[in-house]
Order: sequence, then C-alpha cells, then structure tokens
Amino acid sequence: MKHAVITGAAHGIGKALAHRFAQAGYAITGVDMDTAGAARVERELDARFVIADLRSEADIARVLPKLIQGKPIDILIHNAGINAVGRFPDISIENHEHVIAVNFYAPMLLTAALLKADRIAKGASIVFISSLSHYTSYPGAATYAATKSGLASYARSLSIALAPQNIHVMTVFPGPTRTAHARRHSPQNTREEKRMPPEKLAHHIFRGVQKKKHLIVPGATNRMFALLGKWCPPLMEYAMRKVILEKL
Amino acid sequence: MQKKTILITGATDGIGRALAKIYWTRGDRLILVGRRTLDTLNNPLYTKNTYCRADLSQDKCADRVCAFLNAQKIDAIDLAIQNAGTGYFGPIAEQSVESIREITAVNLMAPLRLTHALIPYLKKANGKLVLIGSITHAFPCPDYAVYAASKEALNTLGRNLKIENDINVQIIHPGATRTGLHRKIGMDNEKTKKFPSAEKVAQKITQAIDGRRLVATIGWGNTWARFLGRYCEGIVNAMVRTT
Ligand SMILES: NC(=O)c1ccc[n+]([C@@H]2O[C@H](COP(=O)([O-])OP(=O)(O)OC[C@H]3O[C@@H](n4cnc5c(N)ncnc54)[C@H](OP(=O)(O)O)[C@@H]3O)[C@@H](O)[C@H]2O)c1
Ligand SMILES: NC(=O)c1ccc[n+]([C@@H]2O[C@H](COP(=O)([O-])OP(=O)(O)OC[C@H]3O[C@@H](n4cnc5c(N)ncnc54)[C@H](OP(=O)(O)O)[C@@H]3O)[C@@H](O)[C@H]2O)c1
Repeated sequence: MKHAVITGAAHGIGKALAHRFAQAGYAITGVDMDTAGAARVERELDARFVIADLRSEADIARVLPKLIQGKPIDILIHNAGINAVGRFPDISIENHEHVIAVNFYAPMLLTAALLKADRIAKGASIVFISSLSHYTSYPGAATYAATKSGLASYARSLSIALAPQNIHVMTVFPGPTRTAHARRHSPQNTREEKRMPPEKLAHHIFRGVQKKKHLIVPGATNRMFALLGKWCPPLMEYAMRKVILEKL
Repeated sequence: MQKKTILITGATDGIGRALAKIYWTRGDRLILVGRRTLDTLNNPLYTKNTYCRADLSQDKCADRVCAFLNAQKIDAIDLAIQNAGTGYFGPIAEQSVESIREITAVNLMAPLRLTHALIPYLKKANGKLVLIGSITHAFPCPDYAVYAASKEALNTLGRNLKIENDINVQIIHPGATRTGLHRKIGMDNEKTKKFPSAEKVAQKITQAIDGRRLVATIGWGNTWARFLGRYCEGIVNAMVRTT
C-alpha cells in the first residue's frame, strides 16, 4: 500500500486531498494541529494523524521522528497554510512571522529532514500548495504572497535537484477555493459559490501527480488570470487592488 | 544636495560596505547595521554614532535597531537599504536546520521585521525602502534552493508593498558580484574572481536608487537572464537540468 503524508489534512483542501488519495488506495498520514478535526478525519478514513503546530520549530522536531519511523513516503503534500490579511503595517509582526513559519519555513524543514532520513521513496512525488497570488499579486496579504512565491521557487529548484533520484516535484497554484480559509480571509463572501470546491481541486492535484506534471493552475478561469498576471502584471495588479485591497 | 539619513544593513562587507563608502563621500548621515563588534571594524565609516550592532538572524533584531535610532535621536529615514544576506551552497539533503533557519531569518524575516519597524521613520521623511534581492530569484537553483526562495519571497513582498502603496519601495537585483559571500557559503572561489567588483555593483545600485524603477536589475546581461528565467521557465529549467 502506498503512503501519502499531507499537512493541514484536518480541514479544507488537505482533507479533500486525504479523501482523494485514500480513495485511490493510499494509506494516509495527516499532520495538523486541530486534534478534534484530525480525529474526525481519522474516523472517516482510517487515516492516522500526528498532531503538530507547524508554527513551532520544536513541534516539527518532535513529530519528525514519527514520520521518519513510519512507512516510506510515496506522496508528500505541503498543504497547511495560513494567511494574515490587512495592510502590511496594520498586521502585527507576530502574525507576519507565523505566516512565514507555516507557509514557507515548515515545508523546507520537513522536506530537508525527510530527504536526509531517506524517507522519500524512489518514484515519489512532493507537492507544494502555492497560490494563484504568485501570478496575480495579492495586495492586502503581502507576506502571504511572499511565502507562496518563495515556496514555488523552492519547489522549482527542488524539482531539478531531485530529478536524478527519480523524485517528482509539483507546484499547485490554486485560485479561490471554497474552504474556511478563503471564507475567513476574503473581504466579502457573497460569491462563495464561484470558488472551486476543494474536492474538485483535490482531483486536479491527484491527476497532476499521476501525470507527473511540474506546475498546475487548476481551472480555466484561474489559468486565464495566471496568464494575465504573468504577461501583463499592471492590469492584474490594478484589478487586485480594486477587488481586494480597497475592500478591506 | 541636502544631507540624507541612510540606513544600510549588512554594511560591514561586500556590497553593503561599498554602498556605505559611496554615501559617506556624499556626506550623508549613515546608520550602518552589522553583526561584528565595532572594535574589529578599522575604518572611519564605523563609529559609535554610525554603527549599530545587531545580529539579523535574531528575533529581536528590529528592536535593537530602533533602540539605536532612538539613542541617536533619529526619527526620520530617507533611505533604508536592506542588503544583509547569507546563503548555503550544496545538496539540499545535507543542509543543516541551522542553515535553513539562518537564511530564512536574515534574508526574509529580518527585512520583514525591519520594514515593519521602520515604516514610521520612512513615512516621516517620505523616504524609500530598498530591498536587495538577487537575479537567482528568477532561476531554479538546485544547489542553493533556500537562498533563491528567500530572494523570490523578498521580491514578491516588495511587489505587493508597492501595490499597497504605504511607502515608496524598490527592489534591486544584483547579479554575481565579487564579495566575501561565496567564500562564506562554501562556494568554490575560482569562478568568482571574474565577477564585477562590489564597488562597481554598488555604484550601479546607487544609480538605480536615484531612479524610479520599481524593480531594477544591475547590468544588461543580468536583466536579460532574469527575463529569460521568469518568462521562458521551461527552457531555462531544461538548460539547468542538463548542466
Ligand atoms: N482556500 C483558498 O482559496 C486557497 C487559495 C489558494 C491557496 N490556498 C492554500 O491551500 C492550502 C490549504 O488551504 P485551505 O483553504 O484548505 O485552508 P483551511 O481550510 O484553513 O485548512 C488548512 C488546514 O491547515 C491546518 N493548519 C493551519 N495552521 C496550522 C499549523 N500551524 N499547524 C498545523 N496545521 C495547521 C488547519 O488546521 P486548523 O483548522 O486547526 O487551523 C487546517 O486543517 C493553504 O496552504 C492555502 O494557503 C487556499
Ligand atoms: N555577491 C553576489 O554574487 C550577490 C549576487 C546577488 C545578490 N547578492 C546579495 O547582495 C547582498 C550583499 O551580499 P554581498 O555579496 O555583499 O555579501 P557579503 O560580502 O557576505 O556581505 C553581506 C553582509 O551582510 C552581513 N550579514 C550576514 N549575516 C548577518 C547577520 N546575521 N546579522 C547582521 N549582518 C549580517 C555580513 O556581515 P559579516 O561581514 O559579519 O559577514 C555582511 O556585512 C546580499 O543580500 C546578497 O544576497 C549578492
């Protein structure tokens, strides 16, 4: 039985990923800090969770041995992520630091440690959940955007570094997805139905892994925004300022 | 020209020290941030009124800088150049936790902490924040992934701060430069001898700072390289893969 490790698997996209990979016959190890949420998913899926607050380096050091003693990992998905929304000076420095810790630092620490311990199986995939903000910009969440672009860069380097070991690396740039995360951090939730259901996103990610893609932007509309943001940044930046920043 | 108040981090070596010298000859008021002790810095640039000792890998580094500014009765800054940087060169699986922590702290956390703390000072002088990135942010860097990622994060931070428009921001990407950095991070030193000097690069950086571009890359070759790395991702990845 193949083994998938998914961070932030108690809710949202991570939970949908746990379901999708379990359905395909993977044994699931989730990493999350929400004990109750983790227990719920464990009951639904026969998944196993390790509880850790990924903001804390001590917690990461504590759970790593558990992951290292576990089965070799065929899929590692860095999904746990947090946001802090507001104008840069208005967000407390602690919140800025937490965003960097969970979204950027924790994935790099986990990846390096698991590679060092030789826990990533040959032929495995490492998946990084970045964000469409990498292409579109995200004023009102400058630090979040910074971590998501930094993560994409790390994945790009890793993809080349690990190719000789036959380890596949994929970066996902999801657009708005219908989760608690999006609900918490959007200026308004009136058009929530337009956001992609996490189950659908999870399926895109599953297929991307099967096809060994390196980059995916799930959804046609999101792909259009990514192209616009890449080739005509001022236009997308103007739109993001109007739609997000000025509504905060 | 009026005297400006200019803060430079990582001002004890390489590009930062060269920048400090240029502004010193212009007669500006300098605040130079570094981790070394003052008595080891034998140069008239560094005095107890200009040199602020702060280890930027530490959580409280911004508090130290602010305490220094208060002691010097400085409440407005015209130009803050966040230049301090560090790296690692070698296989990802061999990089220590300490190294990942240090690079994240010095290259990303410290600029973020200092920006947050310095915004009131910059606003007061209608000043400018300059982030020193690196063209490597636009490339896949299998031998220094964490470094390149920290620079990419810095680039995106600057881009979004610019859109938020609370302060004037500029991101400057130098290319390879002959400094002590490569020796410090354990990169072989033969190739680095051909790189342009820190003085030359610093000169171009000051010109870029006097200009208005949001993102400035130092040198035409680097500008092209960065463009290719960003917009022809597939081709560049394939090229790096085969080398
Ligand atoms: N939703 C979107 O529109 C969207 C768009 C682009 C990218 N993304 C990215 O997709 C990923 C998943 O987002 P989501 O929408 O599914 O978010 P979510 O509903 O908030 O779920 C995130 C999961 O991560 C866990 N988590 C958060 N902080 C943690 C920490 N410090 N330690 C351990 N676990 C932690 C959460 O646990 P708790 O519930 O206990 O906090 C939760 O189970 C994130 O990286 C996000 O940035 C989301
Ligand atoms: N050299 C290149 O090829 C190149 C290319 C592109 C971008 N850059 C960027 O340019 C900037 C300057 O680099 P450089 O080449 O001039 O390197 P450098 O000669 O090593 O100078 C770096 C400066 O940052 C300081 N520093 C490092 N860690 C610190 C810490 N924890 N606390 C306080 N200060 C610290 C160093 O102090 P010490 O003197 O004590 O070491 C030094 O003053 C960096 O951001 C670098 O990433 C360099």
